[in-house]
Amino acid sequence: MKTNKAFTTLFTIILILSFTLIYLPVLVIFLMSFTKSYSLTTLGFSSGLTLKWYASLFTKDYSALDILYRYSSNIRTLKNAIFNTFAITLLSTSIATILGTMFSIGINALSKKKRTMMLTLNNMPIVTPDIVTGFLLLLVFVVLETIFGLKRGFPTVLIAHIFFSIPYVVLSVLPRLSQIDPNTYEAARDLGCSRMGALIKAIIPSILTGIISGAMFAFTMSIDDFVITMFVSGTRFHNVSTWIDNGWRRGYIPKTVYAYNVIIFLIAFIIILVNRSIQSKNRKVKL
Amino acid sequence: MTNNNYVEAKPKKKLKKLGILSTPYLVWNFFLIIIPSLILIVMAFTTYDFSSNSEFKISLSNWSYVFGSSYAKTVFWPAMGRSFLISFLVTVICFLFAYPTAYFMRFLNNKVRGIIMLLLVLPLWSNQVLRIVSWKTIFEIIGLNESGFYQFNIVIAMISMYLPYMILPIYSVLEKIDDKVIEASYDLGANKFETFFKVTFPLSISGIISGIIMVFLPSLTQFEVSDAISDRTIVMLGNLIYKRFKGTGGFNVGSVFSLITIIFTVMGFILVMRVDKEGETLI
Repeated sequence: MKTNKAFTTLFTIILILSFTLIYLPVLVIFLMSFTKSYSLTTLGFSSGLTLKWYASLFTKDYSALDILYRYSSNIRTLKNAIFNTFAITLLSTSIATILGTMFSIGINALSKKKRTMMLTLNNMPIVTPDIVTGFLLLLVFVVLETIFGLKRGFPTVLIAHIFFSIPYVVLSVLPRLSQIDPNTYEAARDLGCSRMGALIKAIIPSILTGIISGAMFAFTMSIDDFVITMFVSGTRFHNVSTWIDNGWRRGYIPKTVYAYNVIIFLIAFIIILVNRSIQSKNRKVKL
Repeated sequence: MTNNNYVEAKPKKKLKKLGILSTPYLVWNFFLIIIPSLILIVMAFTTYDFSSNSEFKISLSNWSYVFGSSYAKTVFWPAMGRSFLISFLVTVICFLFAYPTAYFMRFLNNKVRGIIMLLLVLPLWSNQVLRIVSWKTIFEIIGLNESGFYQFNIVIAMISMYLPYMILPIYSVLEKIDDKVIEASYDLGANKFETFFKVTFPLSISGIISGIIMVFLPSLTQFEVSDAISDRTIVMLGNLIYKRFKGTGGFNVGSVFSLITIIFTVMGFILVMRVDKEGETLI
């Protein structure tokens, strides 16, 4: 009994320490988004509190917000980067989810040997460090540039994001597929569905939860990607991550991006919370 | 067993028609994984690097530059040593934090477990580069932002970044262990420690291996953390690759570094595939 209690205490301490380590920078970002100071070496409470960084996200008149002139062009490029991030993430998530689901249905129907081969190819990019994936994709795009004159930028980043998102969709959808009765598809065909119709009406609904969680994975990986984007984006195109990297290397980061980060964090929190409560409700209904 | 197989054989055969849906994926991966890997190998062993004035000549000069010149002594080997030491420390400490955390979560009630899971994935929504930059701020505030502490600071920042990637796979295998298995172990006379070391721990090996690979490989190749935390004074393997790609005409030597990294990746990958063929612990 005594060792039990000691263990529980020890484990609780480790759990708290783990979460402190993970959350400390998140907390610092949160606090710094509310202080007036431009400095990134202090929390800046002595300079007073402000909402101007949040306001600067939604206005173009930076002087009215009392933001130093030399920061205003940075804030403009940041907004551009935010737009890019969302354009890339929404497009790549949708495309990767559709393709990934299609590929999973295909992989699921393969013989064991082929299936293992496809899964090996599928899992490789997940294990490979981003810097190598980025370098390999860069090589493809350099070849495309040499042959077809395809410049690096939006399209290459989009292809790269689709590339690293698909494996997560496949890994989320495949387990669902192997749970459904292999007769489902044939039954739908026998009942008069076309091939496409059988897939959409019989298979897709039964793997929907897998597709949704795959899409969530793809979205999470894409919106935060830094290394791969940096490799394939060329010099002009930025998403938020490469923008921040570029900013600190030059010594300028307006805290507008801290405000942006807090907003995204809160939106994610709400989405995940709603998603969870819907799921638990569904579970109750089924029971 | 044979009976079951017989019943399943027929629809499976018909299902094979759907297998064609995976063919485009094979083509896609061929162009985005296989082809660039071949280009990488060619570039590591030649002098051609896509620039207009480069010649296609087979040579080992890239390798002798990395391993044999004064560059090897002053830059490459120290960077390799540092990278391995730092990522080894990060992996070990992550494991020491992650296992008890995941184990503890396994035995909590469903509701609390859900909240902790939520808290674990949520930080991934906070931009990674911004989190690294704010670690620099944290070290500045607590007075550790001195060159003597840089390596220590890098380790801390990396642990903070990669800890969830160690906790999640371990938790996902621990969660799958049936309560009945653990109860059975008690019923057969094992005490808590014996049950842990003979039942729970062996059953969680696949999660541990995935976690180790998912932490070790990224920390080995990190360049943003070392750049930001040390103001570009500490050079790791990732920084070497980064510089080659940012600088001009460095693709050949960069390919050598990438090949070295790929060798470790393949080793790790084989290890993961051995314990987890379907990649269940990877997400």
